[in-house]
Amino acid sequence: METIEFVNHVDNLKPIRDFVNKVLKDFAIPDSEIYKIILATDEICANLCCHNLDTNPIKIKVNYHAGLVEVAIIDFFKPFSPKKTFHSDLYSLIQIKRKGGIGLSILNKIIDKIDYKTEFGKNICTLYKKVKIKDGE
Amino acid sequence: MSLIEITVIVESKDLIILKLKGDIDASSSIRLDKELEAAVLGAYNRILIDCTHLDYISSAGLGVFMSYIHELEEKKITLILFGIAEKVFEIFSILGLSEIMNIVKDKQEALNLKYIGNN
Repeated sequence: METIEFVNHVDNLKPIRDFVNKVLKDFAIPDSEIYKIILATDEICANLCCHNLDTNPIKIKVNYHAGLVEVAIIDFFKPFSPKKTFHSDLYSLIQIKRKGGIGLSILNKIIDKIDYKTEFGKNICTLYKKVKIKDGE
Repeated sequence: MSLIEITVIVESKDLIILKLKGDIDASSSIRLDKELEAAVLGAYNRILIDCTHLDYISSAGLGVFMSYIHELEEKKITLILFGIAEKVFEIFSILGLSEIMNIVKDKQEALNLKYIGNN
């Protein structure tokens, strides 16, 4: 389990992506799968940054075991479960020329399972994705 | 340093190319939005987006493209993306955007397309 902490700010989204990439590269996971996990993590963190102005820390934990990648995103903001959020229809968003609204729809299409829980003011969003490692690794 | 470099190339009075290099995420998507808006206002018939050096795009960047689809259709401007890496294209595909947007392999293929609409 690799863990890192970042200040909640959009400028830190790139370092967060780089961290997830660096951890997962060590496990011979195909690039296309790593890309999806990075994207899913980025969408959750971007959501936190855009809805919370406080520069509280966000903690990211990445783990890989037996074909399963687990990314936990821990924050101390007002709870916001991606599981309970309305998922927008692509065509409706195009019609109203809205720029946002597809992040959580993407999440549901590229991740196998999302867990969200709040304990003593701490929110833990855990993303799970089954992956096949590259042949010969 | 900005996460995204956008080079604007005016090829003719009808054609403009935006070359993207780097990452488009929640912090850098505003840059893409500004350049795309300027291209749309510039009254070009075709806007080509060179994604050859686009390493990453999140929903914020995809949302920028989506927000112009309707306007492009109204103004009969064709937006064509080319040179997208396979892992990036897969996200367009999963979302259904590859069915709505013009996405081709390379610049030559993009140049060969005349007005075909955007959806």
